Amino acid sequence: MLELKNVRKRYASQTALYDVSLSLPRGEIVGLFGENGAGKTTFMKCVLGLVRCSGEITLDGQPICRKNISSLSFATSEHSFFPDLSAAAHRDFYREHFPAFSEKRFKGLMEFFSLPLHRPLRTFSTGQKNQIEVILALCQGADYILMDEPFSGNDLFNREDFYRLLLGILEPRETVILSTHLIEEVSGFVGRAVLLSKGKVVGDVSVSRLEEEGVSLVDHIKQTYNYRSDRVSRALKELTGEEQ
Amino acid sequence: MKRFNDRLPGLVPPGFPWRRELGIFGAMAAMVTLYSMRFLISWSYERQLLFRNGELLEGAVMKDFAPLIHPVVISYLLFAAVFFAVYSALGYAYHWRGAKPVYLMRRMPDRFYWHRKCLVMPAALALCAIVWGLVIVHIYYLIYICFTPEQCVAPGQWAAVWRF
Repeated sequence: MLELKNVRKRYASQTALYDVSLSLPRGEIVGLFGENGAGKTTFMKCVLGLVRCSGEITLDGQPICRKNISSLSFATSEHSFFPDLSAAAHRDFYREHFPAFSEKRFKGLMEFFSLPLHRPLRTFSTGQKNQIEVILALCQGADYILMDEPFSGNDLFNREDFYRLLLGILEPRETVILSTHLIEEVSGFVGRAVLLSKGKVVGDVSVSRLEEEGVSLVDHIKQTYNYRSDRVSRALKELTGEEQ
Repeated sequence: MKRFNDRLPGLVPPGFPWRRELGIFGAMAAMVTLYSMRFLISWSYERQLLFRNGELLEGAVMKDFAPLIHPVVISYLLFAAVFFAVYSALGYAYHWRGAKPVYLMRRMPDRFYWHRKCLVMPAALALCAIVWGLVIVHIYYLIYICFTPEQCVAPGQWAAVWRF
């Protein structure tokens, strides 16, 4: 269980996370949603210890430290690989430093995405870079896989295929925390949605419960964020002076 | 030599261009060594002053070794310090270039792994620069002692080298 209690992060004059408390048990796919600047990336960086924050973050009751840090992996759209190394060199690196690294999963995913094994990653296209980033995070052998906008720049078919594959390969102990703007795309794959706004958790809902209530995830999110569906027609009316 | 070459990549961040780093180090070391040869020019000039028409002047005293060698010692110390500072900074900066492997390095199970990769090679090369500087100082001292008329050299020359 990954637990956050009253986690707060301030950047200079701005509060990026404001007393965030969450419990994330194993075996879930959690969608982390929110507008730009809502605090999604900061949330992940706090969990990983990449930025300092106040409050308490524990993994199975223990503070996150060097002993249990390998239970967390991270795929980011900023890419955390070494651009001058090949995929094979990364495989060797992960195998050496993360004993739970899954060679079988790595091979399978490399084949699925048809990625070259021996070319430096800097020569990959943006889509391929995203794919290898996600592959490495999934193969590290972590129980909590944090993904921050992992597929910005990938085509729709690639993304959908990947989500389907993800559902098939995840083991019961593995939890994926997926931050993305592509809500409609992932609504069929996430089991739980955590909504952030201006650094606060403004919603935490089970997708199956929403289904029982007959509400789609997209509608629930729009409702939570007070999305004004008429704002486009209003803006057009103001700009053009015509009724839409 | 092959084993040495095989081990070197393990001392730097993964994928770091260590061959280029070694090449630059070699070139800089050669330039500092070239600069150190100013000692020979100063020494031979001071030595010439001991003679007139090929005859050793009576009571002539050779300039001390310390003021002649100090610019050389300082140049090697500066080279070592600057090389260490610049190359360790480049090692860290490498983790922000093109992508952000810093995110991976900062969550390694071994707390010191990242720092080792950034600091060990520059520190080892800086140490090599200091050792090479010491070798050069010894060689110049031998030249000073062996090729300067003995009666013109004041005692305690070596001890004075380390007093700045």
